[in-house]
Amino acid sequence: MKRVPATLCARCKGGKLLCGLSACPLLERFRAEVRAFTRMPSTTRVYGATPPSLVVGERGYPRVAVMYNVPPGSFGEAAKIYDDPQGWWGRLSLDEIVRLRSGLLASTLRVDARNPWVLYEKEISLATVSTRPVSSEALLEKPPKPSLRFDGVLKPVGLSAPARLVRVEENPKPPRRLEKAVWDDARAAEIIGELYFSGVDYYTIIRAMSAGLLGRLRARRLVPTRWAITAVDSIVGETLRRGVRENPLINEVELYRGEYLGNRFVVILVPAAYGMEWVEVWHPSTLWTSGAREPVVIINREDWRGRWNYMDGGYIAARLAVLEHLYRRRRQAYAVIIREILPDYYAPVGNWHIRETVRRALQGRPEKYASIQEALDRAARLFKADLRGVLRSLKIVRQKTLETWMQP
Amino acid sequence: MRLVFTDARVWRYVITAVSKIIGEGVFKAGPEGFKLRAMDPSRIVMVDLNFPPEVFEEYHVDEETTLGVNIEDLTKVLRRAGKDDKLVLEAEEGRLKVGFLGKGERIFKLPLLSLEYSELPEPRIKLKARARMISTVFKDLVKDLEPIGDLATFEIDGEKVVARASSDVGEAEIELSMESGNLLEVEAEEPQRSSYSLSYFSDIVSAAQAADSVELSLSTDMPCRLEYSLPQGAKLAFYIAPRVE
Repeated sequence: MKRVPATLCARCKGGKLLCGLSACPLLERFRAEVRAFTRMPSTTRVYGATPPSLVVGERGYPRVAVMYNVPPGSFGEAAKIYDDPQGWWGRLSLDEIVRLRSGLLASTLRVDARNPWVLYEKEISLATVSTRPVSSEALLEKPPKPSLRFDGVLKPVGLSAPARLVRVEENPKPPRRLEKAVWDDARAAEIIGELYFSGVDYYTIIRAMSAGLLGRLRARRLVPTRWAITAVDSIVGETLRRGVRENPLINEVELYRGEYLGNRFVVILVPAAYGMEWVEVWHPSTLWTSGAREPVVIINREDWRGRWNYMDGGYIAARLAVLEHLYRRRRQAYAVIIREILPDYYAPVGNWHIRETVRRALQGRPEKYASIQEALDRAARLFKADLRGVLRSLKIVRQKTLETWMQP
Repeated sequence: MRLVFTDARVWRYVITAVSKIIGEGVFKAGPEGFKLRAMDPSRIVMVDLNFPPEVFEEYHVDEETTLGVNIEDLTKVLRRAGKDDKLVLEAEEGRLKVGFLGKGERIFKLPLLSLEYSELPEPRIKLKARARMISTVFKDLVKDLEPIGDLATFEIDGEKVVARASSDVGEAEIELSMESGNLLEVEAEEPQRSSYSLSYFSDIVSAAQAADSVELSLSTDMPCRLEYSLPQGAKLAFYIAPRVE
């Protein structure tokens, strides 16, 4: 069997298939293990409310699978909890999230991504962005098969079965601003910015993007959910970044911390021109590093012009949270974000928790330091893994500026 | 002010490289030539550009003029420069007129920005090693390092230049020497070794297309200086601050 290095897995997270295999062996094995979790209804007629949402797959694009998720038998507010990252944060444990998601049933339709109007006509698209869950019914071709799906970017998906028909039975109520945007013949990037700044729920914007509700009318597409999440994070992030890099610098070195679902974060803001460093530390025995003996460390860097070494769903979610913070404060800083993944994070449940944990960490009171070195020394003590070597090699520590040689 | 330069594409490549470093810049046109010296906001790279009067076909500058320009927009316009086009630059009533003189004349006008001109000093450094090479050799060197890593380490001794990059992807090592014929000149008081972020090299390598040769000078853990020799003795130099252990 081919041996795949753990650093590659930690960077790929099952999404990019960097190992060259046709399916991620780690995810496959993991799915088989958790299959035991799921309760299996034997019916082919499903009632329930949505959102809980739509997931657009990426396999076989543009002929994509659209998974219409409903919790069978749950309606109204009771249905909402199945897909509510902001409500989950800090309250639900990883077990509870996995169990909730395994109670969802995905009725799967095959749709051409280039024709999102098929879903629009049946009100399915609007149902997924409704502020209050709407009842719906699905007729399945055959009884559902358990197939709990996990991913570094997407939330887990539970049971699924091909659907003959999906019917939305109530009138969806999208946020007013979004309802207007659906008929706006402007580029998606522009509309996403407007929706974001007018306060439309972030996760609703992502669903709208994925359901093909945004963009030039003639170029609308269903966007695989994983791509949509990353797209919204990078579009909003880019808008914020352009503002942030014109702002004055912060005054001191600040250190923020947060932890949720076995993911520990430290954010250090440094008074220097904008830029970011993302340090991800996976302990052995987490999903992606089962073959490793030592913690696996991955580093991603972004320079002042907003170019990063590689695209990563986790990085871009954390980056968004940091940019939001700086934008709101009208300040500029260089950010070091450290994420330690402890063995308790046994199932990847999406990148939403990264965004939310970093957002909340930055709402806390920072510890303040006079120098980067002091802040990094402090940070090193906050992690289980020994990161002293890694933190010493950060660019913010090692990169000199020309000013050193320009003093008169 | 009216300047005419023989090959508009030289400007296209040069300003494209400059646009990677600064978004807005202030040029100064005076009796000594057409100049720009600026640092990027993170203060890691400096560009030093000087086109003396004699490199122009026509150089009419009555009084010292400063021109604040959105470099990004200027780059977009200069991208339209074609083979056999001459470049005409004129300042008039708050606007910069960019003309291409080839078969017929095409004229673009860009607003001048009211930006303050501040004279930056050059870094005060004495670099102990230098190597000169054909500009395409340098360009290939940078392109070879790119797939591997974001840190480039250069070592120069009296005979050769060794460039290295390493990351979890793998390692790259490129050797240039007088012997193999890909260096034009090399000298070092003693071997010097220094590391830089590769992305800054990637940014400015596009200017190599306008240059005949490139000279890389550096000292251990000091900034490096890259000088492109442009046609007719115009000068384009960059300083990049090092990353140190």
